Amino acid sequence: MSDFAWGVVAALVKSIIIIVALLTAFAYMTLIERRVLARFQRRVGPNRAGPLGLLQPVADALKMAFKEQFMPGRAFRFTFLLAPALSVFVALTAFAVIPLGDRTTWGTSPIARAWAPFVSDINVGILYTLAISSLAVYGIVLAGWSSGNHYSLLGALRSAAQMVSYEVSIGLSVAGVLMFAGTLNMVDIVHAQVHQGIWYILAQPLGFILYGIAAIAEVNRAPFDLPEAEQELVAGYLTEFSGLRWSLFQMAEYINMITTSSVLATLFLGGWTLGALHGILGAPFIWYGIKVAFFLFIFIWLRATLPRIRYDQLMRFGWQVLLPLSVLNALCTAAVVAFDLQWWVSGLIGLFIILVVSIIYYLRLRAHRQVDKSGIVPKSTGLDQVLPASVRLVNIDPSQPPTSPTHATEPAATTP
Amino acid sequence: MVAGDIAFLVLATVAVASAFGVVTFRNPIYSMLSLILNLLSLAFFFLTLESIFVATIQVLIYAGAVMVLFLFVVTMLTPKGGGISGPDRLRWQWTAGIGLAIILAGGLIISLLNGSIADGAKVAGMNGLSAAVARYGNAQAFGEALFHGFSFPFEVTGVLLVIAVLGAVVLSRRFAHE
Repeated sequence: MSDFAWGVVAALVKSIIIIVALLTAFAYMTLIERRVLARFQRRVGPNRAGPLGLLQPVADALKMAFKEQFMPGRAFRFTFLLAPALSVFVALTAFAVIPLGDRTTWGTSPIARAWAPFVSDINVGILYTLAISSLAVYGIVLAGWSSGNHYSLLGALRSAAQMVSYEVSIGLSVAGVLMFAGTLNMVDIVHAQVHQGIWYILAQPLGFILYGIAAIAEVNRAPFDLPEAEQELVAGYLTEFSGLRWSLFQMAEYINMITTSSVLATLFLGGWTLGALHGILGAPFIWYGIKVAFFLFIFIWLRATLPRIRYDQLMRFGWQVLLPLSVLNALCTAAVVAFDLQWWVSGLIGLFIILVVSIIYYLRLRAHRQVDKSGIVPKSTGLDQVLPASVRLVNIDPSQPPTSPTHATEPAATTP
Repeated sequence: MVAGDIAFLVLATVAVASAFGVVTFRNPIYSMLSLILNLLSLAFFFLTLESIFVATIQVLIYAGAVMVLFLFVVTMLTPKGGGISGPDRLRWQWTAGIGLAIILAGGLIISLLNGSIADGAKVAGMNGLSAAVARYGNAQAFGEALFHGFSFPFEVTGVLLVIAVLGAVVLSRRFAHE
C-alpha cells in the first residue's frame, strides 16, 4: 500500500481509539464527579456497585439503555432526533487535533510518524478546535426548539446568547499565546514552549484566566450552567429528553470538558512535556493525563463551590469585563512581541492587570455590603445597579426601606 | 474518474440541493438548516482546493457565528407548529426567479468559456498562491497576503465594520428621554 493509504488507515484506527478512550473517560468522569462532589458535601457518594463504586458507570449505562425514550407529541421529529447526535458528533470531532504526544513519539520513520498520537496534525489546529466547538450550540438550540416547550426554548436561547458572547473572549484570549508561539499548529505550540523554555501560563497569566473562565461558560458548566437551570427552566433544553438521548447530551458535555482541559494544557501548560522527562516512552501520556485531570478537577471544584450566576450578571460579565480584558491582554502581548521584549514583561503586565481588577472588584463588593447593612438602597446608586429591570419580579421604590412584600403581589383572584 | 472529481460531484450536488432547500422549505428552521449545510459544503470545497485555513474560517464565522444569530432570531419568531400556513403569496416570484437564474448561469458560462479572464492571469495567480502556501504554510500565506498585499482593503473593511456596529448601536439604543 502507498503512504497515503497507510495514512488513511492510521487516521481511521486512531480516530476509533480516541473515540473509545473519550467515551470511557466520559463514563468514569461521571463517577469521579459524583464521588468528588460527595466529598465536598461531606457525603460518601456512589460506592455500592463494584469495588469503590467502579462499576457504577456500567450500571448507569444499563439503566439508561432500558429507559423509555419519550418524545413529546408536539416535537419536531427530525430535529429532535438530530440534536443529541449533533452534540456528540461535534464534541468528538473537536478533539481530532489535540496532541497527546510528539510527532516522533514512536520513532522517526514515516510509518512511526503516521501513527503519532493525534488524529490530525493540521496547520490551523487551534482554529479548527474553535470552529468545531462553535457548532456545539446547534445541538442545544435545536434540542430546545424541537421539544415544542417554552422552557426548553428559553433555555436554548439563553445558551445561544451565552455561547456567542463568550466565544469572542475565547478567540481573543488565545491570541496572546498564538503571538508568542507564532503558529496555529497545536504540536508546534508545544514545541515553541519547549524552545523558549517556559510554559505560556507564565507569560500569559491573564490570558490563561480569561480563557479558563470563557471555556467554562462555553461548555455550559457551573457557575455558567444557565441553559440547564433546574429551578427556573426545569433543566432547559434537556427537559424533554430521556434515556439514551439524554445521556448523549451528558456525553457531549463531558467530552467538551475534556477537550477544553486538553486545549488549556496544550496552550498554557506545555501539553505532553515536563522538562526533559517526555523523552521516555509512554511518559508523554502520563504528563498529558495529569495536566488534563488537574483541569477536570478544577471544573468539579468550581461546580461544588460557586452558585449559579444570574443571566444579566452573565451577560454583563461577558461583554463588560471579559471582552475588554481580552482585548487589553491581546494588545499588551502584541506590544511585547512587537518590541521583542522578554516573556516576563508580558507575565508581569498580566499579573498587574489581574491585581488591579481584583482590587476594583473587592472595593465594589465592599460598597455593596455597606448598602445591605443599612437596609436602604441610596438613591445615588439606584436599585437598577443591584437588580436590573429585566430580571426584577416586583416593583419596589428604591428610596423606601423594604417592607413586607404582600402589597406588591397581585391578588390571587384570577384563577385560570 | 479520480477521487477529486467524485468529491466535487458529491459536494456540488449537496451544495445545490441545500441551496434549493433554503428557498423551498416552508418551515424557516429547515430553511436555515439547509443554509448551514450549504455553508459547510462550501467549506469542504475550500478543503478540496487545499485551503484549510479558509475552510476553517468559513466554518468559524458563517456556520459558527452568523448562523447562530439567525437561529436565535428564527427559533424565537417561528410561529406555533413550525411552518408558514396558508397559500404561498409569493408564487409569482418563481417565474421571475427562474428567469434571473437562467440569465446569471448564462452570463457565468459565457464569461468562463470565452476567455474574458485571461488564462495567463489564472495560471500566474494559482502558481503564486501555491508557491506561497508551500513556502510558509497555509495560515501564514493567507496572513502574508492580508497584511502586506491587501493591507489597505483590510483596514478599510475594518473601518466599515466599526461604522456598521456603531450604526447598529445607535439604531437599537433606547435613549433616556424617549
